[in-house]
Amino acid sequence: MTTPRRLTIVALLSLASLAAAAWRAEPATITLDPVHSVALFRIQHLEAGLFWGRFNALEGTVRWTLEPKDAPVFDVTAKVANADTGSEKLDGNLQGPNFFNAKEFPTITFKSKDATAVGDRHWTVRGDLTLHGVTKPVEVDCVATGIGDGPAGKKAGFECTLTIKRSEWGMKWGVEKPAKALGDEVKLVIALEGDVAAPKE
Amino acid sequence: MRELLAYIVSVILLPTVAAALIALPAMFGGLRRRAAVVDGCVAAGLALAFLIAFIHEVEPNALLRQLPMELPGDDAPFERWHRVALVALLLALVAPVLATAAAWRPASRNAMAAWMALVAGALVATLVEFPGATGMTRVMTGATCAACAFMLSRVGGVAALCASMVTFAGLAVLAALNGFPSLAAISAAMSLASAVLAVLGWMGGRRADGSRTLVVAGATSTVIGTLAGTSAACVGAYADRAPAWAWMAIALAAPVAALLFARLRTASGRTGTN
Repeated sequence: MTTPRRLTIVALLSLASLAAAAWRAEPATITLDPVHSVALFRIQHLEAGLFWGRFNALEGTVRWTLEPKDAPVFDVTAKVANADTGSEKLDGNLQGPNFFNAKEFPTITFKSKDATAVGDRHWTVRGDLTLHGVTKPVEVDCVATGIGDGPAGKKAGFECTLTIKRSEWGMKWGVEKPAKALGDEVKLVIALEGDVAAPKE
Repeated sequence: MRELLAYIVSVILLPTVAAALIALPAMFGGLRRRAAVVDGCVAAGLALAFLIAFIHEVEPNALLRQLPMELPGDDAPFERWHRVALVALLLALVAPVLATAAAWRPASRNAMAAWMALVAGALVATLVEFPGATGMTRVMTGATCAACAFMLSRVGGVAALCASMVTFAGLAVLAALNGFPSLAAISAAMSLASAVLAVLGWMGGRRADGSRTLVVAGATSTVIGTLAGTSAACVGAYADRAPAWAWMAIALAAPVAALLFARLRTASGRTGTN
């Protein structure tokens, strides 16, 4: 093979890989579907049972190329008013100043900053969790659970889990006073599903 | 069980003991005749009871965050309801001044108490702002504090402390029912402290000849009225289950009843004399 031909092939391959990289770098915006996006939280009650509650109707977006190796970028918001424990009284207590203080801090947000791939469609995502008026960095284990076709178009789903100490966000009631009324550790399991919009031309 | 007991001791009993220790010397013996000392000690005792209950229930930094100062290593949020602790701190500091001013001219004690109630109400309306506050709710909060303080100054004596006990007991129950256990615990501490001071005042009255009336007009009425009105507005601001005026009515109910009872008693006493 002559040198000019080799150069042409190298140039073409380089262009192809650049094009592929450019195509891959343009992520789609996945707008969360509030009906199918929910955050479950688990906390220990009186050092006994593990109590589960949920935040319904999560909102926000995920930016993702849909490629297994590429990490998604999350921007998710939960409204404290959407807390649902199955008990109206408990829901009211959660809105109160001893817990989420919904009047002053009505939303919980997570904005991801970067991520490390753990496996195919599986990442450790690092970002800021804002809860109870306090913003702190967290690491979230995220899995893309699937990409499917719905009647209105393509859908993508994720499941993310993390465990936090609520006292670090200033939610201390029940941890020390009254001691051991409620656990400090809260496990969060976040199920997200959204509609995939094609990247803008 | 032990944790719950420790909680009750630190948040409810300890503030009561502190209030009793401060007021005790003024309740018995010669000091009882000195109106300014009695009024100042009872008022400061109650304000400190509120403050101690708050610090034990929440944390000292929650109070310090209300002051214009940097707290190294503290990244907890500023919460508006913590302002009630600042009100208690200011009342504890000015209680001796109020008591001295109220006792300056015994003849104009009622007018002085009325002025103190008005100024306290105006300051609360200006400086205390809970979530969702409007100009109207702030005026209502200030007016509740002033009305509560004024009525208690007219009731005076052990009856004013009993009214305080009932008011804070009511606030404690309603705060607990409306998902506000911290303010419920603080109100419970205030109710117990008021009850203990009322008992001490009554016992001191039975032992002291010629000075049975416990003078708690001025400083004490201002402290109770301001803290009751502010606490009621605070619960009302965070609870959606009742309108703001309902909470203020709760703060006013016991002082109104105590004042009516005192007036009826005075009227029946006059009738009996005639």
